[in-house]
Amino acid sequence: MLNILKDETERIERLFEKYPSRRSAMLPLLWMVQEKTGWVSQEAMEEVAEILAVTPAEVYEVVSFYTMFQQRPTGKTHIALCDTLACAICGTHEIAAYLEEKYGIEVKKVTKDGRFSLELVECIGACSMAPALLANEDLHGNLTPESLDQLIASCP
Amino acid sequence: MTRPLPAQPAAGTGATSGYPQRAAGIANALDGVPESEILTVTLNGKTVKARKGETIMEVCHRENVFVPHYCWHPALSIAGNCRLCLVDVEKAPKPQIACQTQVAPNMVINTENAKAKENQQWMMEFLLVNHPLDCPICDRGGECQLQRYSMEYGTTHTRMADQKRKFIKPQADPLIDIERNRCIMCTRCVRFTDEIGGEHVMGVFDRGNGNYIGTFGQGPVSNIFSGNVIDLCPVGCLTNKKYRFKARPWELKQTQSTCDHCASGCKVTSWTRNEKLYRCTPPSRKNHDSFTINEDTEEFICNQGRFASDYGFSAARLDEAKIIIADRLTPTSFQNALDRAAKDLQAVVAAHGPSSVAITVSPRTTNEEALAIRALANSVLKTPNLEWRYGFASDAAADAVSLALKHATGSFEQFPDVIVVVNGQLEQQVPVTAMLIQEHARRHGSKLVLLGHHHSAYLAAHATKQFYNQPGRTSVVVEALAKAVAGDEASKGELSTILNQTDAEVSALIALLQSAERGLVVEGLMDFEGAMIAAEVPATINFTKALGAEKWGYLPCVTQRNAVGLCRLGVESKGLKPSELLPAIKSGKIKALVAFGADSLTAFGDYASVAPVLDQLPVFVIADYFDTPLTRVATTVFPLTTNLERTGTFADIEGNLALLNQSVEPQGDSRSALEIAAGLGKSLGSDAVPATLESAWAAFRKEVAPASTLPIRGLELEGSTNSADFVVVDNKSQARNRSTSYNPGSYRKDGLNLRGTLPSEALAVPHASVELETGEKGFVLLWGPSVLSKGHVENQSPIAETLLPKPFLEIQPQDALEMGLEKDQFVILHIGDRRAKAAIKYSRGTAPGCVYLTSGGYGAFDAASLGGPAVVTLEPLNEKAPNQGETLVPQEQH
Amino acid sequence: MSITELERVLLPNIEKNETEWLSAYKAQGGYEVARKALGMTCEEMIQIVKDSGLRGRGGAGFPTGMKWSFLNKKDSPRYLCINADESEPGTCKDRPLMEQRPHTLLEGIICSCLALEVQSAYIYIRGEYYKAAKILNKAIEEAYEAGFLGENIFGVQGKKVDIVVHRGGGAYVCGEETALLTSLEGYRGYPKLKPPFPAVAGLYGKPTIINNVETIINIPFILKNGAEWFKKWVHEKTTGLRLYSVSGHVKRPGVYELPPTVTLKQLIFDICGGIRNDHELKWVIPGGSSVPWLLPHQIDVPLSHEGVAAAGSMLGSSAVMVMDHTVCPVWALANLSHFYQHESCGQCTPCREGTAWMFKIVQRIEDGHGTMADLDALYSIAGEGKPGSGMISGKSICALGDAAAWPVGSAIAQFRNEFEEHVRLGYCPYKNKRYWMANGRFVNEQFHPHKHH
Repeated sequence: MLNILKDETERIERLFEKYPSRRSAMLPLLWMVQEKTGWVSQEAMEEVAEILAVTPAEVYEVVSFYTMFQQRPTGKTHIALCDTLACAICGTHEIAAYLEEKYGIEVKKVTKDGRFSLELVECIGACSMAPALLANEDLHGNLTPESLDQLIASCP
Repeated sequence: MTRPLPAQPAAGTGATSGYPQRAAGIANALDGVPESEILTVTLNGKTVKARKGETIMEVCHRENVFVPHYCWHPALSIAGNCRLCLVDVEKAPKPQIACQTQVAPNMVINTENAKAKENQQWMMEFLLVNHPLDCPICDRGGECQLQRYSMEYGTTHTRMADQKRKFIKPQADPLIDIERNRCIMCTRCVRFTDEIGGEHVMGVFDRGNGNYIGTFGQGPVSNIFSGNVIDLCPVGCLTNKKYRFKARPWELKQTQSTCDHCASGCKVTSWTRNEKLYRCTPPSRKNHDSFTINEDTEEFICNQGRFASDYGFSAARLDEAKIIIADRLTPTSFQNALDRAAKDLQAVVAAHGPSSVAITVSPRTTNEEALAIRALANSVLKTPNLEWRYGFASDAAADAVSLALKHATGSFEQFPDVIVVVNGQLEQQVPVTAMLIQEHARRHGSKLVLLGHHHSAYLAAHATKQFYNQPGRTSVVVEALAKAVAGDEASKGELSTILNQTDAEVSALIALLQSAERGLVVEGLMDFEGAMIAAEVPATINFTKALGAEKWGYLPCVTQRNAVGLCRLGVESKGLKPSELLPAIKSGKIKALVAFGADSLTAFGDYASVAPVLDQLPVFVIADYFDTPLTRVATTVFPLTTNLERTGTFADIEGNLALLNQSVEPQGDSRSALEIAAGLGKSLGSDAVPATLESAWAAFRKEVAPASTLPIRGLELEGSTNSADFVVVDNKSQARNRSTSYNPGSYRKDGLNLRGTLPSEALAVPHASVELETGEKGFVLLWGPSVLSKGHVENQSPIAETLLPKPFLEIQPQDALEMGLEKDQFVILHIGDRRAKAAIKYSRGTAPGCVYLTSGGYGAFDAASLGGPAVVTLEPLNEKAPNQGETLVPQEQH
Repeated sequence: MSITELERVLLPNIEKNETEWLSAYKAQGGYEVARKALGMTCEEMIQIVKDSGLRGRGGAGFPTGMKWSFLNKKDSPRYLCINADESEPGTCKDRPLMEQRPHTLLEGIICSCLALEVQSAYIYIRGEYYKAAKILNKAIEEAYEAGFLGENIFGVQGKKVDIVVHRGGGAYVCGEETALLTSLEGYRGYPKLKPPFPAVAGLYGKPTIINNVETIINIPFILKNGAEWFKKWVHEKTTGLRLYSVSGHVKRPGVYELPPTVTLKQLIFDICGGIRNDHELKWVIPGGSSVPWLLPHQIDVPLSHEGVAAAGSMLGSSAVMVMDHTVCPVWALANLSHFYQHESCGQCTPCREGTAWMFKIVQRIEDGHGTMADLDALYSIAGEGKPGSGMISGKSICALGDAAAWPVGSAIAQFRNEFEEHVRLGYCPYKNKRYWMANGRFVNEQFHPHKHH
């Protein structure tokens, strides 16, 4: 019985047309769930399992493999701060410290007001713009304290 | 290093029987493989032959070269992830895994040189990096592949100086203990539950070094075969909760025996010490490694056999004979009880004639016991009322079962290429037979056709063709198919109407059936069928005959363990019909009842309803394992020896004999039914009852295989734990049992099995007249037997409650969606004015418009009393079966 | 040589930093090559690609034409997968290509599909590239509307090409071609056992070619201008202009399109303006995080596969990471080792256990708790930074194990003294010298431990 994806049957059908195997719709469906709810809950995994006619365990196998699928609720703006070499040598940790000290945004936590959550991630493919982060879907590079302040201010 | 392997498969078990090449598996002999398929390779300096497409591992197996491995298992798909079987292949830039690399002409393979050894040592070091050093408290100690290989292939010291990985320990499965810190991620358990268990309930979660095995929501591994992951686990990650911290394998005595829970007839090993059963497993391989189970063998058993074989250790166990003295059941000596029972019976016979005596026999009775009891009935008491077939919906159904077993010719010996399953919930009726069928379909390329009004959901996933018909129409379908196969065009049209299929589909089905080289018709005989089964059985037998008796076998499936043996020995009443027993007791027509095993009596209902009837009997002699309300109303009580305490033979549905082998001393004064029957005979002044196991066995051999020229080895059966001495024991076909050292073929040829023959003339098929009007919202309710259902014996296992599945109502997803029913949602079933509650389970096996209730059997909803399929309406409740697991915890690592 | 003197093929649009939508692309002759390709035979096209010497731009540098010729054309359907899972640390060239030249990429895919007789192509794009995925989807929509995709493309009966953008979920290993396929099939991104290779049994068990974005985007240019044109820029067996992603402590990090004759030294000191704050160059990682490290005296080599190999490293994905003298090599190695142990799929033993074990040891040395025995252990696990050496390389299912081991081996070889110093001192000598913030942003004296988790 669908709940989260109940209004998406048409989109799901179109998705199935793209692949010779229904199972291939696994990642797109999980993205669909995450777009709608911000994270992939246990209930959502059961729903996806039902749509794909697989067991929930199979969905959880996939969800837990890919790090971008959030298994806990996130803040309104989820910040993924790159912590791999190119960014790390250009100030990742200073940014993390700045965010924590100035805005109280801590790694792996959601702020009390629910506005932000922060996680340190591996390379996000913006090495020449280091240090860089993803705020929800948007990439921000060449970060400075000023650009960070602007970013934070612009977030809902 | 070369080491002896498990006994090699007998020559010809593979290629000569047309057995197809498999993805993984133990190498077959090369006999009969065409020269063009053979190539030569060099293995450790020796030139050997190999078949094209074979893996290095398979060649090594055949050549007795041992390559250590964890993830590879012959029954499972190839994962190639443990990397322990890396071997050196000349000219290859990297070491190659033996389990997956196919041999090529003139390949030079070295499994023992410095490079190979270095790799083995490195992989062992990696596997131990995070493995806790807790062998002293680990249950796998002594039979652990990690211990063994690290002694043989590893180093003696560790270079790991950091903290080891630690996981949270879930406690969701009541039977299987998971200790993830010990896991080496070979994924055997995951592949087993997916491929053989039939449901992907176990998985690998998280990623990289933090990945771990588990179930969704940390729920239980809810599968009838789940216990096998314990044996498959090469380390101490998955262990038996019931065996935890109890013993070390080397302290235990291993007895090769057979399971007595269903007629699949699995071979098992009982692990005992101090007259206690510690665990029950598939056969251990003494000649390979004293303490290894399931290493490279393909034998699996179901949870009932594994966990519920301990019923003899129930607190309710009887251990002394009792007789009535001054209106009270009083303990007495065995001989006193025999004399007293004999005196009572003699008095009844003298006063009311032999027909006033009835004898009931439990289906757990061995052939030798049955032979003795039959002698007691026929020659001593001279009563025609000797019966085992209780628990079927009607007398017609019981007769149909007898008819089916009489004409059962099928077996898996020939690796059937087409299997037709007519009805049945086989994974619950005869679990391991269902497993064999799905193994054939999944791995060996056999085509699987499901017919009838109920299909096994477990098999449906592997079916080539699956056609439903309405309940009551199965015999019509099968008869029409028989005609159509013979070329009758009109029947084809009839079939497409009944099956609601296109003509092309029907033609394809018929072509498939006609194409079979070695076919097998399997019929699941189900409780509810009542009158229908009387038509279905002869129709299916005729169908098999029409397909060709030389190519096709007929294999009816019953749950009762020794049904085949008891039918062959004629333990079927010539007097009272099964259903007439209780009325005859009530009316006083039956004055004396001798019950060998109370499980036959509980088929009439629960203790509360049966005991008062039996209480009316002037003479009630009962031999049973347990002190129950039934034994309390008896006049003489004999304690009966259980599955572990006696020796004898059982026949399985394929007619193969298996040895029930005594592994512990009988408790108290318990005796086998053979001793009791012989004792009664003697006390009644007759020598007609065979008094010893040897004489009973000899008589049985003479009766079932009079032409046999094999030496009668009689008592050599007793206590023989060496598989080479397993005279009559056969456990399924070579498909699962390829590594046993005896050759069952010679016994078969000698007639030493209870296989039947198809009738020479077509059988008459009674008209099946079951027309159910379900109306708008109604469903046809079906149900069937299950080895996991509650029962007189099963209930007494200390973990019976744990094994029992929740009452589920299986329904087609389409039907459920139309009703708006969700998975796990509770519904109330209304059957007339009766009600039952069950949780919804989507199933691909239930016919549209039908629902299937997992059998509760004794003590639960008594569906059997309905006598046949009934119309039910479903009332959805706003309530869901609780998720047995906890909430998902994304970060498993501490 | 200054940057303005260099010829550029792919970069002009990227420098404008705007997306080339269909109308603009058509105005400058877009999709003409695809139209032309419709009139060519498959063999012709494959031969041109072979002749051009084009090598895969994903990292392994396998000749593209040869890869194409392995495709088993007896089986169908066949698939083309575009590997846009650009995840090798230091590499950031495919993202701007997709964001700014989507139609060039689509044209490349159409041409490749025609050459390979493939009807469906999947672009497997890493999950983090939200914007690129959106742009590609929109471009694909435009191309369908214009009749360049779908049934009967460009009005030619029977010619069909479908392109689907498939987003990953955050897993470096999915850049491995067979892991990409498993992921696309909807499973955990586990690399498959080889053989069979994808060209025989790939996606859904069917013959499949997997090419990097930059590889495919070169195809229309090669078909248009010919193999000889592409070979204008050549150093030994490396042909054509390629994109170099430069990151780290240079004054002008960025993506540069250069011929393979340019030297690493020129790239760092001329094109990228040298080291920030005029610091000293400490070492260079020339081809993405997996490759062996090069010291300043080793960098005067052409940036071709052969040139970099001669210096003892690999060109890889031509991602150049530059470290100045403020960076502790042990710390940097711990960072990279953390990356690999985090990204190992966990399927096979050597990689699952080896990557985590190496990280634990390196981190411990960095924290000052290491011993000399640790160094030996590390060296024996990781090997000498060469294929097949050590306990992981060559033993794992895919090359991630190798990629994790090589930098460790080479770091120890190049900076053994510094590792030993950590052991001897019992702390990281760089701790108080930390000043990695580019151009003095985020001045913060406080030391933050390496990992917050």
